[in-house]
Amino acid sequence: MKFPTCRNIVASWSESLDRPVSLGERLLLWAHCLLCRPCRRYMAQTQAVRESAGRALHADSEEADSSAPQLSPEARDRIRQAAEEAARETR
Amino acid sequence: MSDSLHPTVEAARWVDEYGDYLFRFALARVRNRDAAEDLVQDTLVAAIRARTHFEGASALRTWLVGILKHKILDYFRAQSRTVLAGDLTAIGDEDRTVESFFDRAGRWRNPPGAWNASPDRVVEQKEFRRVLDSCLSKLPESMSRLFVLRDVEGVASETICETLGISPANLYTTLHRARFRLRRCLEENWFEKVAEVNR
Repeated sequence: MKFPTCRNIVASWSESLDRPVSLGERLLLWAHCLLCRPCRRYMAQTQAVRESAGRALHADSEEADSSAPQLSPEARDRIRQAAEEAARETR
Repeated sequence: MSDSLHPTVEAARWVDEYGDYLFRFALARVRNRDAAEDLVQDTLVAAIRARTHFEGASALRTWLVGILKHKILDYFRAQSRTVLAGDLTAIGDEDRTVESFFDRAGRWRNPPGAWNASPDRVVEQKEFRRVLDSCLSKLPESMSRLFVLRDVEGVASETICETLGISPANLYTTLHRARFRLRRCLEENWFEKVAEVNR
């Protein structure tokens, strides 16, 4: 049996986040990580990046200070007109 | 909508109260100002037309965000029909980027270094979020789109493949490259720099 390389392992690990994996695949990942610190570290850091990306995008949306992105005045007027029109149509 | 206000007045209030929040939510995901503004308009118009269905069980903002998420998925679906030549070149380059981290035997040539703090500890820092945002912007558009849908919004793999018309193999490979590159970009532009400052 040919053991997977680090290159294959990190790709398989990523795939395991997106589809169900077999017991055999899980065992291969586990056995490799038991012996390979760089792959363990890669997975832990990448997992932390995935989680922080979600939190960062959420925090950016919540940010309401003056430096935060806002609708341009033109877009706000256009959207207000469209919203009022929709309200009139569906009264 | 509340009974106390005229519907058009209430519609204007929704724009004033939720417009900027919805805009920032959309902009962080589609990374294009014009598209984000259009998405806010589509969302608010759809919400006003469907306002009798809003039962008030959730907060109004949560309901609007739910509508916006569907609009973003529709936008990505429309975008996925346009395959940009630059995007394909960038994805080809990406293949070489990932490969360059491994030797011919598939072992790490540049093993991941230790980080002095976990991203979840620094995510509250605005400067870290700027770096993360810039790293996301550097991804080819089709790649950041999949990352946002899968890793930020948690959309199921099958739904993404079905909606965007891509194969599961394509999804897995593209997500692996996106994650690989984002980790590397943060390492280079945040964790290594912070370590240098602390030295």
